[in-house]
Amino acid sequence: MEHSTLELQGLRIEGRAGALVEDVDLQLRRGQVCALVGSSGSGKSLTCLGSLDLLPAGLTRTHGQLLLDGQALPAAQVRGRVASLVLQNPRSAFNPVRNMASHAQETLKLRGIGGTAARARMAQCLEAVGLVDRERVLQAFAFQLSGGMLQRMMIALALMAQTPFLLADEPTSDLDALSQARFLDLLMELVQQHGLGVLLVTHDMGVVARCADHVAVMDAGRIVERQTVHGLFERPASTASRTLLDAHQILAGSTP
Amino acid sequence: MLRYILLRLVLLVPVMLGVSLLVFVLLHLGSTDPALDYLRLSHIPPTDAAIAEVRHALGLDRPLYAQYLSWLWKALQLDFGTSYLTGRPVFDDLLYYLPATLQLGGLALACTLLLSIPLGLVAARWQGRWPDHAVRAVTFLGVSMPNFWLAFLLIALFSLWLGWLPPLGRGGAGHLVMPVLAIALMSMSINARLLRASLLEASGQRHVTYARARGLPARQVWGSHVLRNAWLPLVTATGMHIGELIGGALVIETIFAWPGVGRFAVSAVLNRDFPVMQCFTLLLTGLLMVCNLVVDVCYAWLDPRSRLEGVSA
Amino acid sequence: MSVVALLRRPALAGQNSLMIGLVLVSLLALLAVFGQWLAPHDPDLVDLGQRLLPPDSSHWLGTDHLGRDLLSRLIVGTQLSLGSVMLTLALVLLLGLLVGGVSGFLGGKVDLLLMRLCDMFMTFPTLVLAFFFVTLLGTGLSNVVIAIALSHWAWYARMVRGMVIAQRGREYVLASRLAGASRWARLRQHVLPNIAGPLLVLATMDIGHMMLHVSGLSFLGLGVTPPAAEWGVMINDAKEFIWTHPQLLLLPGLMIFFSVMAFNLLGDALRDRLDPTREVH
Repeated sequence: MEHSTLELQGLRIEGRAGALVEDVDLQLRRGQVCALVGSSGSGKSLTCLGSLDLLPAGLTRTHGQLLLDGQALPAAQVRGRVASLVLQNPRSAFNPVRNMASHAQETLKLRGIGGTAARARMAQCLEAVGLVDRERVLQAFAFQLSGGMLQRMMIALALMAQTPFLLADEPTSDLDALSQARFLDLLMELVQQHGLGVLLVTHDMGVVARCADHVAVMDAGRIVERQTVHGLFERPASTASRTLLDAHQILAGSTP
Repeated sequence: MLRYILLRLVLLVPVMLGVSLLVFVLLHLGSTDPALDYLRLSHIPPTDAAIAEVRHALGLDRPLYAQYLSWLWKALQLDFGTSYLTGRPVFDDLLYYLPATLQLGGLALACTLLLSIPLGLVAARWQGRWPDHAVRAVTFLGVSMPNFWLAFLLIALFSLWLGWLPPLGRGGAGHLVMPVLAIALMSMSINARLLRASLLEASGQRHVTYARARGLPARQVWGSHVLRNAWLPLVTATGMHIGELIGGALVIETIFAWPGVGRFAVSAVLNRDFPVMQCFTLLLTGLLMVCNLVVDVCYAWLDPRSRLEGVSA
Repeated sequence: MSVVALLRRPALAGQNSLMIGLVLVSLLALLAVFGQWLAPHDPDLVDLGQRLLPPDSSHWLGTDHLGRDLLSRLIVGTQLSLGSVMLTLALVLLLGLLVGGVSGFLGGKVDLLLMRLCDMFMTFPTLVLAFFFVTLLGTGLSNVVIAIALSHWAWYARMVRGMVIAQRGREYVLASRLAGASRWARLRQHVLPNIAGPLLVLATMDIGHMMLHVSGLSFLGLGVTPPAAEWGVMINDAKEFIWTHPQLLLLPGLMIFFSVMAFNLLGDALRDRLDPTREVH
């Protein structure tokens, strides 16, 4: 399979008060889900955004490299071509004055697809993510669609961009339980059928249990543990992961 | 979209009626008796008989609502009465002077937009560096400067000292430069600052991050996602600017002996010529209302949120 | 947030502007209050034998067309110009607080009616409305203050109403209601102190604007009238001497410019402190 691995090496992000993320390495493989977990403030979202050079003002990435199949690539070439992004709170991720169709058209135009071929591809991708009322969704603006639908739209855009990898930053945090379940089902379907390689940033161990193959645990800006999902749940090595698991067990009452 | 426009047009009517009623009521709450003013301006001694006669002639002895309705009826036929001072029909006179004012106001608006946009863009694009500081300094000065003082400075510089431009009157392009600049400076400064702030805010928004994340080139992100969204506050502000520009034109006209409604209105105020003031107020307010309508329509066209009653699915 | 809390915020990038603004405004205030004693000559003393003198040791800035000392008139003008603006501001705030406060706090039909009235007033171009009120009331200081106040109040009423509505729903107000406090006690103790700060900032940002309108109307002869030493009036008086004695026109205008700048600086700095999360200014 071409483009089989995407690696992040040595990510370091600095803010006004010092280093917020340090020495972070991650490996993504096609057809597998790597979960990045940690409590709030551990730096997971920053890692996700920082790897693609999308940090907000006031924060800078001082170190870090992306490697596709071992070849270094600048973030600008990875964005939208090698890796797509799915964000938490999807409503604010779409331009409020443009409809879904225009977002889709932009994305497809980057791939050189326009006109009728574009409309066909849009229909295809919307169907793949389970957005059935295609015309209405495409004509709609962000404020007219629910969180769940917008989240799916983001995946649809990722499919249109045909990127082999997907970085998902807490995609289910703003969704209700049913939408969450549906979204994760969709994600797993894409991983299994299209060989999508996913980085799933989350603080919810239930999501990890359900979707992840590998887990990296972050605490205070560093990766403190790396394990397969089973290994993490059975033999958590770091205090951070133990805290997360305990909290999860209190809420959910069981291990996978 | 069309429905929105029609709706707004229809809503214009009750507002205009309300405004005219307000003006009418305020005039009648005013401190002087219009009959006395009329007599004074006609140089007729105010004997009791004369007052009673004038009151009857002007219809001031009827109940208030009757007076309003008869006034309204005549107004709809564009008969706003005659000036106490000149005795000529008010509406005709105002209409005669209006185009000159509209010329100044219109050009000042164009000037505001044309100058403020590049300034705002430059300041946002090079935020924190010297172009930004320069623009912020200039606009700060522009916002603080009295327009009538600026007008004199311009006259002193361009007419008296350099002799490039004529100091007075209406004529060719040369006559327009200074009045338009004097009127436009403040609005232009406000607009430039507004655009700068709007651009900076728009570029920090999440949908811009997402657009970049999808691999869109920087230029496209700037054009389609930052600029496109940053226009909105400016459109809203244009309505406010028009009101201020009208006010500015009124003041500046007197300095440049510009034959517009400004000078006409100032003499009406000093002479307390009520019919003229009533028509003047309503005419200019009506003009502003129509301009605001156009602005709102533009806004609705740019921002679908304001015209769609859509609720989330 | 209260005014005190506003001023106690930790130092930010705009601190310099705040200090400068405060200093300048204080200077103006001092001039306004003590001007009469600081002026070297009687600003109203007409002496036709001394008219249109250039600057000399006795008259540092020269005299005007009626022989009055320019410097003295400029200094005393501070009182008149600043004073009229402050009076206007006080009236605007009063009207705004009254209408906006009642409207926001009582809600219902009262709110609807008052806001319709506000909307009506906001439909007029400001200066046109001011012209209208001056026609009704006549010229002169008190009338121009009322005229400008009546043209400006509606916006403030809307602002106050918005703030009151926002505050009404806050926890401490609801808690106070549960504790049995009367409506007016709630308004006085909880709502008003919390809107004073932001309202102050808005007013400061607007003072410059009002000052330009007041002096503009006086310039046209529709406001404060001669022989008053108001800066706008002085510019009007000096129109014909622009070529021969430009300082008679330039200097009063400079005073207006300077004052408006000072208030704008202060207003900007206060606004930045009120909302430090905004990095845009």
